[in-house]
Amino acid sequence: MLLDFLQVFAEIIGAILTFLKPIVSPIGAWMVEWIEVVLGVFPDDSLSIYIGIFIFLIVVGAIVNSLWTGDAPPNFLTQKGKLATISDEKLKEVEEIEDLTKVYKDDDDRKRDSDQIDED
Amino acid sequence: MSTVKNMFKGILFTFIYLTTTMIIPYLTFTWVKELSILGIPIVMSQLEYERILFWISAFGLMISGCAFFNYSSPKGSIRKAIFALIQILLNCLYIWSYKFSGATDVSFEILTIGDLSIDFSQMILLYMGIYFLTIILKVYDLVDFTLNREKIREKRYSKKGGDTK
Repeated sequence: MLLDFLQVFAEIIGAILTFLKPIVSPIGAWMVEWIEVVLGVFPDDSLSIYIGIFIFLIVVGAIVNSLWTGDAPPNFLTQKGKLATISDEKLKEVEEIEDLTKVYKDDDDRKRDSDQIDED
Repeated sequence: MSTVKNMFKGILFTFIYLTTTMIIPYLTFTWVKELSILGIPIVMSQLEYERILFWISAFGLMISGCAFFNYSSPKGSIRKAIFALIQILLNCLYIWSYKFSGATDVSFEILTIGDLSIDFSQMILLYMGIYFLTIILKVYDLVDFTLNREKIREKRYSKKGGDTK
């Protein structure tokens, strides 16, 4: 009974593998090439490095995803926005002052011109 | 509230990945090592048993760490896409480490009958091909999230009634 089941199971798996092999196996072979290169880099003498990486990822993940939860703009963006609003307001003020100065300047020019005419 | 939700998701998936990538394979290999079929004890003649466990633990830890970062990140964020991609790449390394450590070609010695050898290489090669397609999908996600960053953000903020600027 168990052997029959295993035989059927093996045949199904075999059929799937045979069907997909020409497409997927070459890609798999290429994957294997780069993976073997990368695996050569990983140290295989101590687990402490991997434990360190695990703890680092957990701590950094917890900090980053607590600070920037994604449902509100991050603080630095909000501050940037505020600064942009403030600078826009300041710019308007400066423009108004400039306009006023221009008016005063125009008035001065007009006065000077009229004085000149009077002298003449 | 979002912080709690994010952290809960992260912790939950870390435990899921720790279970599936470390605990279950560890128990399986320990079980296989002391397996007996129909009352006949078989001895796992896999000399690199400890090496297999080392790679399972090493990659299991890294995958679980990435899973925490990935699942605790906001939906549609670039950091989520990056860590999902890293996780998939680590998964490939993890799967291949079975082959690398000899676990895909396990030989057993059945004491009264003889030797039994199981070769999973072809199956893993097929699995790698499927993983390649997953990598393509994750890269697409990363590009999509990067290009449509503003749109995704606005959608997310408006969902929560936050400021969109």
